[in-house]
Amino acid sequence: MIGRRGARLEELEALYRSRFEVFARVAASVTGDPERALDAVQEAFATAVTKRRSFRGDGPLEAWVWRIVLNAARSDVRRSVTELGYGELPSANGRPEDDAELRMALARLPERQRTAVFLRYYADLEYASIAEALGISSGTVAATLNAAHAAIRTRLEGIRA
Amino acid sequence: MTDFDRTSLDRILSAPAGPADWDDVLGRARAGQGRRRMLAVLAAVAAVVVVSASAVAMRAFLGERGFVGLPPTGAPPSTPTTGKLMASYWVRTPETMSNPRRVKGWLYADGRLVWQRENDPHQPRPPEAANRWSSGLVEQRLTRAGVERLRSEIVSTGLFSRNRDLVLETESDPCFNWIDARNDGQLVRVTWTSTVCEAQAPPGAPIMRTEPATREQTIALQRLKLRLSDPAAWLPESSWRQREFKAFVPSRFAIGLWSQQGAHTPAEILAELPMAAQEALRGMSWRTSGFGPSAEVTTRRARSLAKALDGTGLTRKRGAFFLSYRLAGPSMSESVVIVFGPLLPHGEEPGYGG
Repeated sequence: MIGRRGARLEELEALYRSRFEVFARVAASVTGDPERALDAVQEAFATAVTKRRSFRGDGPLEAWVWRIVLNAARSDVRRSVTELGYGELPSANGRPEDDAELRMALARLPERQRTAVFLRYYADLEYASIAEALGISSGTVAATLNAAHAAIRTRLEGIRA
Repeated sequence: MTDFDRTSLDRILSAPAGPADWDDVLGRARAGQGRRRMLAVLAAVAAVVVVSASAVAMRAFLGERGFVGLPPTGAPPSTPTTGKLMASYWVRTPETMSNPRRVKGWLYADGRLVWQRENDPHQPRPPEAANRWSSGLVEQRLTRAGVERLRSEIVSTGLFSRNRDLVLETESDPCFNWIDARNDGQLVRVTWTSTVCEAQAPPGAPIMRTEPATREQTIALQRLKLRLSDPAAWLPESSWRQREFKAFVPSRFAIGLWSQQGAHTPAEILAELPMAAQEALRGMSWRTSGFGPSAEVTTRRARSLAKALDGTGLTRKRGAFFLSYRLAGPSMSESVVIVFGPLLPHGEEPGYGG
């Protein structure tokens, strides 16, 4: 896949069908609203379909699509002046306190750090793909994740102290 | 914990608001390509086309789907702007004790039947819904005879000769249900709960003066709630002027103020807001109800208010049922919330509870 030009429609469809939920959930962390995240994902994939011939193949197709999805979600945020609102619903698991603390700590991270965390630990992307998706270097990805870890650790300790 | 595990993140991240839909992606892609070609060809007549297309798009937007928040610019409010209430209700439909899938409806003498269905937010959004939580407010229109038929269906149970608060021996009703119906010119209210709910009431909860429902009354209410949850399923075609539902566009909104900091009067609450937000809300006629100060405005004014509040430092949030602006307080709570609530033709907000 690396080094060729253009993406096939079937590849995009397969990616969409296999990873739709991951795209939608991470996009919701940017828009703060699942409805608008869904819209952003749909629009982003439509853009990817339209511009699939411009995919250069320098990296994985998924990373290229992630960049489009995140740009669509961020554009939505800029248009609407909205704010993060994950977890409007109470956590349905057996450890609601832990989730609430983690949610709070994540919500206070800068957007790039938070998105990097979700791409790495939820979407399971490699550093190179995260770099492509966020438009930064691989080295910066590592630094961003380290900073996120440190900030989360500090905030959780502060919450629990 | 800083070793993020996928399971924790899965619980924190909001579930998708709807299912995957590749056909929709392709449709958007085709629409995007079509738009670009169309713009190239029709640039000279763009202004005319845009105006026409907006009207068509508006019609499509408002067709068979409600919305949450402010209606799109140019959407015509439902007419007449006021209405005489003939009946209203909040009833459960399927076999569940919880709120999801309950229906709240309002029947007007002019024929309008305005309603909203509460969805189960843990399930994918139904295609006709405004969001995961609600259908949004939608309206259908009955003939004069259709209004009377629906009202008669309610009062013919014999339950509406006076106000009643009943207890049903059933396990399948939520803890508060009501039906109002006009009988002899007066709105009469029948509420009901269940013996299960009564038994589960926490210590110190207010005690309602309820009366046990007879078997006949129970059967009548069970039948009635099924009918009211979907009148289109049983009212004959001749009862309808417009059976297909479309978005209910309110002509007025109530702007509500709420403070977590103990402030009560409009002046006290407004003083907590940034100056720009105070300026946007200056000169409004506030009245105080049990829920805090509120002011009625036209939909156009509500839209201009929302625009003015954008960029004042408040957070705009389109929630499950309504639009709000929030001033962040300590610990991620909100210190002030400004709610934009749609007003129904009889002048009340739909409410999102009992």
